[in-house]
Amino acid sequence: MKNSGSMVCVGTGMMLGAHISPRSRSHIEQADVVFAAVSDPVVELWLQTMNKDVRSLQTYYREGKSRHETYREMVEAMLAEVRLGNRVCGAFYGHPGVFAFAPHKVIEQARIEGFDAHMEPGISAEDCLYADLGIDPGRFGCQHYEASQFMFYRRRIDPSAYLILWQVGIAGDRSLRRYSTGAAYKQLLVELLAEHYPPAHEVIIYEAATLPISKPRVEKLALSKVIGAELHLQSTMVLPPCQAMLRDEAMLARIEELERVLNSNLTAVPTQQ
Amino acid sequence: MSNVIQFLESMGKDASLGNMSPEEYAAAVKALPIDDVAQHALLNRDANTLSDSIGAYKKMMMILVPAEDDGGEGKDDDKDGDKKQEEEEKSDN
Repeated sequence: MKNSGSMVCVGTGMMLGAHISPRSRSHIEQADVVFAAVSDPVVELWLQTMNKDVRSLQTYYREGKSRHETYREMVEAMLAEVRLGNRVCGAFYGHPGVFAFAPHKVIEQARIEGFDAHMEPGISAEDCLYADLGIDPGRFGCQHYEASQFMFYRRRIDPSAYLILWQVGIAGDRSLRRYSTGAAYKQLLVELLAEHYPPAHEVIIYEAATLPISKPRVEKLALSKVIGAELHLQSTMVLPPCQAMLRDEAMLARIEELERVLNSNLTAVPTQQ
Repeated sequence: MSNVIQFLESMGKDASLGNMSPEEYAAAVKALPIDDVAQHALLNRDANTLSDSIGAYKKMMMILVPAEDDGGEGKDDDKDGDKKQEEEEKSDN
């Protein structure tokens, strides 16, 4: 038997008023308690117009405090209300399941404890990026990494596909206690990328618009200039391909041979009347 | 609902409002029953001043995911990956 409390994590989308789904909005309106983690202060005020009990998750952040601890506290705050039997809604900017730890964790833990818990998708920064930059990830392929993770681990970069680095504004932060990154860290990131891309390769710094009065940030610059670029928490770096895709002639030959065999089998089978 | 929030929500969800000409936009903002600071902020499309004028948080943290899981799970995964690669290399020889 399920316990009476419930947990839902919804996405508010990126832009106030423009992206929230009717279902996500109804979850916010019908919840007993709403916890909000959004990227714009005005968006938080907007959420407060939908429910009389909206609690900001901003209070758990603090410069110098490990974000692991912050995320654990967020999860516990939401679960405490679920355990009291409340219908709890976590309203997260963008998509609640994309580059977001607490929503996945709180749903997992709520289910373990016998509560109903699920996620409603939202329009993410990635979705806005494709629209604003005119990029189709299916055209050349697209690799996505969290910028610091990209620096900490060896990854196989494909310079014939798009490379998109998220949270580049804190690239190289091992402490999870900082909210900005210095030129020396950006230098290391650029050096890492320069193993695959020429220094003059044009990259894009992107920030989605969060208010309908704002425009997205689309700043094109040479890779080498990223060291001196102004990067924010919401900045994303996009590296377009610098090489043409290489055809895999061996695989194409195998596919051709397979098709030849299949076609010959088809012609050998008599048709039934 | 505050008039500013209501105006922004309308702009967000109504394509015709979102695509107003500069003149239409200025007229719509000037028609709002809001204080001068908020009005100027809207006219200048100045999100920071607008936030201040309606009492929103000054600074928002929007980082929601760590680069690595707590407890170094990523490192363990990496080690496993290295072991598998070593085994594959051995079996190739």
